[in-house]
This record gives sequence, structure tokens and C-alpha cells, in this order.
Amino acid sequence: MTTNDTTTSSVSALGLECRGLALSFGRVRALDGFNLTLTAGEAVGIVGRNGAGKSTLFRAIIGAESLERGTILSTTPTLTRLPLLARTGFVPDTLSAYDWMRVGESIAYVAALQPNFDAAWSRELQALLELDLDVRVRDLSRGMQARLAFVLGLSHKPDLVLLDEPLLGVDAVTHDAVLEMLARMRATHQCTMLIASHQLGDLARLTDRVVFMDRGRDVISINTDELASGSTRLIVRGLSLEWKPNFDRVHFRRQDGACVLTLQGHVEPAIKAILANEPSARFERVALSINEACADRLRAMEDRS
Amino acid sequence: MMQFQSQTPTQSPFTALLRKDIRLASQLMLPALGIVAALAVFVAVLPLLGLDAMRSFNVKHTTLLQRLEILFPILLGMAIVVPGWIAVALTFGDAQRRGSTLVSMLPVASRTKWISKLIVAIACTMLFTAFTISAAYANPGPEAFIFNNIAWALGIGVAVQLLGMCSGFAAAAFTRSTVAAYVLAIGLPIAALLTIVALDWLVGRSALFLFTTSTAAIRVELGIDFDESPTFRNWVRAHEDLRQIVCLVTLLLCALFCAWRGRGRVAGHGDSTRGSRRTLAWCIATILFAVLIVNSIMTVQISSYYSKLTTELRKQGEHEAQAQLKSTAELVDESRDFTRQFRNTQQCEQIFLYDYMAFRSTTSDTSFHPYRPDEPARGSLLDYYALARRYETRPEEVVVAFRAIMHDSVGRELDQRFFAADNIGPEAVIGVALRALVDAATPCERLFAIEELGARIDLEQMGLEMVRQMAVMLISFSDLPPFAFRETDMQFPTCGYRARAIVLVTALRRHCASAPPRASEAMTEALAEFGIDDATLDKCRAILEAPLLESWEPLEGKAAGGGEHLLKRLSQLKDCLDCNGSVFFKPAETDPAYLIADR
Amino acid sequence: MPLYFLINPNASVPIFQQIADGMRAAIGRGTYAPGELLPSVREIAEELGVNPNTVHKAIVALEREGIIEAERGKGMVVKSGSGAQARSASEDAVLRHLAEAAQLAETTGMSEEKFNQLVQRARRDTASQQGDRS
Repeated sequence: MTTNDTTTSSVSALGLECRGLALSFGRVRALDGFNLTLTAGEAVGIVGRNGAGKSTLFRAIIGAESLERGTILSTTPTLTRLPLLARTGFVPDTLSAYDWMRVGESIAYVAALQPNFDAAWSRELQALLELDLDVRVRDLSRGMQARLAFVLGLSHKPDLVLLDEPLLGVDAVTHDAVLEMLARMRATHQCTMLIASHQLGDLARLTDRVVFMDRGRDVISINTDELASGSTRLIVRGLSLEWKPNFDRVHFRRQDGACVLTLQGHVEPAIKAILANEPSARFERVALSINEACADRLRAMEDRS
Repeated sequence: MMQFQSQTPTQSPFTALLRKDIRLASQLMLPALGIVAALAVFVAVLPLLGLDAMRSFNVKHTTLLQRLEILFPILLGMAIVVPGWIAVALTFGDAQRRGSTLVSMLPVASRTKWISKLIVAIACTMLFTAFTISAAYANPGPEAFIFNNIAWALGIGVAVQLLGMCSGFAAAAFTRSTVAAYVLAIGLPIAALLTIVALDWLVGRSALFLFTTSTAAIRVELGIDFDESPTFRNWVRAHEDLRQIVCLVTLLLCALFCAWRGRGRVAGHGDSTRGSRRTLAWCIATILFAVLIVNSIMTVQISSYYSKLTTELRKQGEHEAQAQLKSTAELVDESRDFTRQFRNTQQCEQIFLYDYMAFRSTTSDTSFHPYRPDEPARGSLLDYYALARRYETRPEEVVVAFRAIMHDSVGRELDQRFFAADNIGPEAVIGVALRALVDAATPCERLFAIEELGARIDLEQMGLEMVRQMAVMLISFSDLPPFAFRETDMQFPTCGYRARAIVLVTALRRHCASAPPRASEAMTEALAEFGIDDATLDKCRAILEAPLLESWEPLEGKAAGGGEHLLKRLSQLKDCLDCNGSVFFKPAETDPAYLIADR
Repeated sequence: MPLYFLINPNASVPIFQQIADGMRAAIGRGTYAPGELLPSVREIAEELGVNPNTVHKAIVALEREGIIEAERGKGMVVKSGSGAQARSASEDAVLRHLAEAAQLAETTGMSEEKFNQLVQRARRDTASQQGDRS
């Protein structure tokens, strides 16, 4: 990858390999044979319904939950838990900090316990995210909590960044500031990133590919570029009532007398195939936004199982 | 690219953890300390609230330090409760308030986190221990600072509090709910205590069960009911201490293990409860397994000892069977080994010179010695048991036999007669003694009688202790005239016996002379039974007054060749027996009835 | 240096494509003159808040089209004479999109007149939107 800056090879970037992860809470299978490989410097997004197991995955990676089966290894090099944690930054969906501490004290606490804590970078983050150091954590607004979570998780310039729905319900100003900061981190530090989000636009901006997760399993991995462009929605009228699509990679439902098809790949063969059997079909093509495309994929995953 | 910028950390990682845990603990400690402070203030101002308030607290003390003693029970209770409380607070302090993920994602080993919590918990525990001990010793008397007491207080107190702390950590690992954890922190030690008691019962019952099962064959063979046999009951009990220690240690280890498994795992994650339930299951399994092993060991030990005793058992069984066939008079005869011959002059001399202690021990209080296989067949414990059995079934026969011996001054030695009388009652003993005093064939018979008389009077009302350690039936008199012994003369026991005997005889004389009797009816009957009347009592008093021997020279001559100790003993006896009896009393404080004026 | 285009992350067009199109259009308009140094990948990524890999993809695409080239020690520069190329490439892009639309119109049996009407309408709508933006 060429940049205009003097390059250094990403010697310090970390990869991550998750194989066959399984974890249950009582009867609920949070992770059910999950596999994921992150190459060093890659940014991967995770998409799934609520309860698909995304948060559990992150907690398993940092070691907050112990797995019933499966392995999680960092690649090149393979690190044991504590050295890995020293180079991993985790931003959870709700801020994890002690209510009774002040913002400044929380940061100082993390500073003492993170060996790679970079005070200058932390100050830069704090300035960028406009944190007030004297407020107690319990008095923070939601947006401020999200910002503090970023500072606590990323002040040590981690090589592996884990973000669990970091921008959930966050105001627009915070949103922009955070995206800018993440892009900067990616550009400057070439860190490996794993982001779980419902905001597919954010994933489209930041990730190289997106993994769809359903009921504890990884279903499919799609390059970010193809997330939306790979999908087309066809609204077809005039089909017989029993008609069903007989080709692959399509999500199909009936709505108000019309058939709504979401296709991956080229549309023309599908249209030709339909017309061959149902010459009176009428087509309307809808360009899908990324959100709609992914929603349909998720629906398709559910229908399949 | 990574750049490791050199930062100047303001604190080391462990310091940061400690400070965090201290602040967590202080959120709980501050209210507790507030309570302590409020109590201290209350105690300080107690006098201002008036005397009624002080009385209602049962406070006799005047200085503040002395009043602090009131706080001791409350502080003790807090010292037991607070460690578990703190342990739960420290664990949940990381789970509550959304600290849990932060704890997990920082590169700190979980044992480091746990050690920090442990240190803070121990410090708080020690603080309350210090409070409690201070309150207890706030009012130090002269006996307060005995090192042993303090050491015990520290040892037991600290052990209990550490147990509470472990249970607090363990409780936090068992449940997601904070409230439940606090309840468990109190409940677990109580449960542990109940478990120890239950385990003790369990181990005891199962030991007994295993024990009876494994020895069933022996029981059938010998026809002995082991449960009834006291010897074997003592056996099972001998292992009681071991049992309780085993239970306690096992439980402590399990508690520590549960706490260790719960460490670092912050409550609120399904993982910890799952792990803790598994641990609990393992603990229960371990306890049951340990109980099984321990019982097996004990049983093996018992049975091996059993085989050694089988011959003894058999002997005992045979003995009892034979005893059933004997007459009561025979059993009575065999129940005691009588070797003293008081009417034999030579033997009497020996008693005076050598066997003084033995002489005293052949009196009627039998000190049971442990069963020895080489003891003579006569006068052994088994014979005594046989007699006791006969007494259970045919008591009247036994009494008749004893009475016969008691009155047989021709065929029986004095110690036998005293033994028989002792089984009838103290009044009978006195009767035998008075008779022997008058009719004595040798001086040692007379001396024996004096000792028995002196030992049988109850002078507690006059502030004088019993002279014999063994429980002996005594005669009391109401309304004794005052008397006082001369202390210097009372140092050697024989003097005491003689003086008391004088008191007894005098009291009996008054008793006989008075219309409403001053002693029991049994005494009156006994006097009649032995033919003791006023004249006899006067005669007894005269004998008690006179020196025992006319001349001590023959004895002294025999003692001279024997050694220093013989001469010493003889001189002691002489001091007590060579003077007039009245000499033992202080004339100014003694009623003249006791004294016989010098001729 | 500010960027002269925006990206819409929610659109169905891939972001790298949007960046490439935006850069190309700017070059075609002459906003980036030939020989001018383009913003670095890092700068573009930060400005847009996107994955540097994505930006890199767009740069590579433009390089492959021959519109820009790498200059040693400096970065990416606009190739001289690439303005026209850029414009024509943009035209190619528009033609590509139009071809797809035409194909769809064909399959739905639309008349050529109607199709042209639609093309005009599309242009008008976009122009007014641009007007709003500026």
C-alpha cells in the first residue's frame, strides 16, 4: 500500500484467527461454531440481528468470557493473553467505567494499567472528542459516555481495535468526530479493526469486508464494495400465484400482490429466466441502499434456517 | 506504525488497582466507621444522659475507656460480618457500575486483581479486629494482658474473619445479584457451621455403623452388646476430636477453593456462576469422599485394636458368666482386694513407717486404676462390675452382705469393714469408726478410725474445705458451736483429721443430749445399731484427747536405720499424735464444749 | 486541501467507485491541474472518514486508467493531458450507466421517446439538486 508518507511496513499490525468458537449461556447458544480470520491491517465489519452473538464474540476475544470450544489466536505473532490485551483496544457498546470516578481519573486509571498508554495521543483524542475531565462518570450524557469509551479503549494506540456498536444512539457531531478519528487511526497506525454495527454506512466507509452473523455462526463474508452494488431489487408483477424463484442467491417475498426479489449478481439472466416462463411479467428495478441490501440478506439468512 | 512514546506514569499498575479497591471498600467502610464513631460518641456522652441510662446499660464504669467496653459485643458482631460484606462489595464493585468490561480488557493478570482485593479486605478486617480488641481491653484489669488470651483472640478471631472474607468472595462468585451475594456472605458461614455440625453427626453415625457392622462377628461370638460396653464407647469417642478437625479442615479448604475459583471472575457473567456451581459440586463430592476415607481408616484402626482385645473380651465374658453363678456374699468378698492387716502388730508398725500413703488409700474411697491384664483375679475392675451387676438385680442381698461384714469385728479387718460401711452410708462409717476407736486392737486401727471420723464431717459452713478429693458422703450438723483451729498445728493432715474428729464427737454428744436432734435420723439409727451411747461418746472424746502412743521410741529406733524420710514422716506423725487433742484449738475463739481442761 | 466531492456511504455505488468518479470529475473539470500533486491517501481517508484501503483502490483505478501517475518522492500527480482523458472517462462512465438504463427500458418495452424524456428529467432533477448544494 503506497501512501504519500514515508512508509513503514506494518510490522506491528496484528491478525486474529477465531476457529470454531462455541459458548452457551444456559440453553442459549451465543456462539455456535464461529469462524473468522482477520489478516493484519484488515478492517472487518460484523452485521447481525440483535442476539446474533456479536457482543459475546467481542467479550470472548478479550477474554471476559471463557469458551466452551474453539480457539482465538493472534497471528504473527501469536501472543498470550496479557500481551495481546496490551495491544488490543476495545470499545464496548456501553461505557465500562467506575461511576464514582471522574473522567480524568478513569483515564489515569487506564493509563496506569495499560503499558503502551500514549499520553500525547490520549490528549489528542480527548481534544478531538471534547472531553471534560472533571465530570463524574455517572453524570455523563450518552454521547459523552461513548466518547469516553473511545478514549479509554484507544489511548494506547492498539494494533487491534475492537468496536462493539460504538456509535449506537450517538449524536451527529460525536458521530462525525469519531469517524474522522477512526479513519485517522486506520491511515496512520494501520491497525486491524473489527467493528460490529447496525450502521451500515459506517461499515461501508471503514471496512474492507463485512461478515454476516446469525445465531452464533458466521454465514457469509462480503466485500464492502459489493454490499450494495452487488444487490438489486426487482419488483415483478404479473406472476402466477404459485411462482417461486428457481435460482440461487435471491431473497423473495410477496408484498401487496407483487413479488419482491433481491438478487445478488447480474440481473439480466434472472430477468430472462423469469420471462422465459412468465412472459407477461413486468419489472421494476430499485437501486438498493446498503441498509436495505443488508436487511434483505439478513432476512434471507433467517429464512434459510 | 506503533510508536512507543515514553510516558511518565503517575502510578504503578498495582498501585492503581489498590487505590481503586480502597476507594471501592471505603464506600462501604465509611458508613461502618461512621456507625463505630457514632457509638463511641454515644458512649462518651452516656453520663450526660443521666444515671438511668447508665443503669439500663448495666454500666458500672466511670471513665470513658471503661465505658467503651459496652461496644465490645457490637464491634465483635461487626468484625464477623464486615469481612464478608467487604469481600462482596469489592467483587461487585467491579461488576456493578459497569466496571466489568473494563476489568477484563486491561492487561492485568486476574490474580493481581484478586491480590489487590485480598489485601484491602484483610486490611479492613484487621481494622475491625483492632477495634474489637481495643474495646475488649479498654478497661484492663490485672489479668487482661495475658498473652495466651490475646493470642487466642487473634487466632480464632482472625480465622473466623478470614473465613467470613472467603465466604464473601465465594458468595460473589455464586450469584449475579448483589443482594443475594450480601445475603450469602452472611449465610455461608452459618451454613458452614451447620454443615460442620451435620458432618460431625454424619461421620459419627457412619463410624458407629461401620464399627458395629465390622465387629458384628465378634459380637455374635462373644455374646456381648458393644454399644452398652463402656470400654468401647470410649473408643469411638477417642476419635471425636479427629473427626471434628477433619470436618473443619475439609470445609475450610473447600471454602478457600471456591473463593479461589471465584476470584477475578467478576459476578454478572454466566461463566462464574457456572464455574462456581461446578466447584460446589466437586466440593460436596470431595467432602463425601473424604468422610468415606476417614471413616474407613478409623474403622480399620478400630478393628485392629479389637483383635488385640478379643482375648480380653472373652475373659470378661467368661468372668461375668461365672459371676452370675456366685452368691452375693462371695461377690462382695471378691470385689475388693484387702491386704491390710491392722490387727497384726508387725503390720501395724509397717503401716506407720512405710505405707502411710498406701494406708490412706486403702480407706473406703476406692480410686479406680486402669484395667491391667496382669491384675489378680480378686479385687479387679471386673469383679467390681460383677458386684455392680448383682446390685442391679438383687440389691437387698448385697446390702445384707455388706451389713454382715460391717458388724463382723472378729472375722474382718478394719479396712474391709470401712469399705462395707461406705456402701451403706456415711452414718455407718462413723458407727464403725467410733466402735473401732473404742475397741481398737492396735494403734493403727485407732489412727485409721480417727482419719475416717475426721474426713466425714462437713465443715463448709465454718469455711473449712473437704479433706478428701474424692466425692465422699459427709455428715452435717446444724448450729455447731464456734471453734477455731490453730493454723500452725494444722499443716500436717493427720492433725487436721484428729481435730475434726474431736469436733464430730463433740457434735454427736450434743446431738444425743438434745431433744430436737441436731443431725439426721439416720445418724441416730446408726448410733443405736452400733451400740454407741453417751458414755461411749465420752470415752471416744477421751481417747481423742490422749496421745495415741505411750512411747514413740520403738518406732523411732526402727526408723533410724531406714533413712531421712522415715524419720521425717515419723516426726510429723508424732507432732500430731503425741499431744493433747485440745491443743489444736484456739481457746479464745472456741466453745469450751470442745475442750477438755488439762488435768 | 479540501476535497471537491462528497461520498454517500449509503448509496449502492461502492465507495471506491464514488471516490474515483469524484476525483476523475475534478480532474476533468480542471480543479486538479496537470502536474499538480493530489492529496495523499491518508489525507483523503481522514477527510472523508473512510478506509484508507478504499481510497487506495480508487487511486489505483485512476492510475490504471492513466489519468494519474506516481512521482518519486512526492506522491500522485495528475498526468499532463489527462484532463481530456478524464472527461472522456467520465463520459464512458455516464455511458455505462445509461446503457444499463437503456437495457432495462428495452426489457420493459419502453419507447425511445419515453426513454429520452426520462433522460432529460433525470438531468433536470440532478441539476436542481446540485443547485441546492451550491
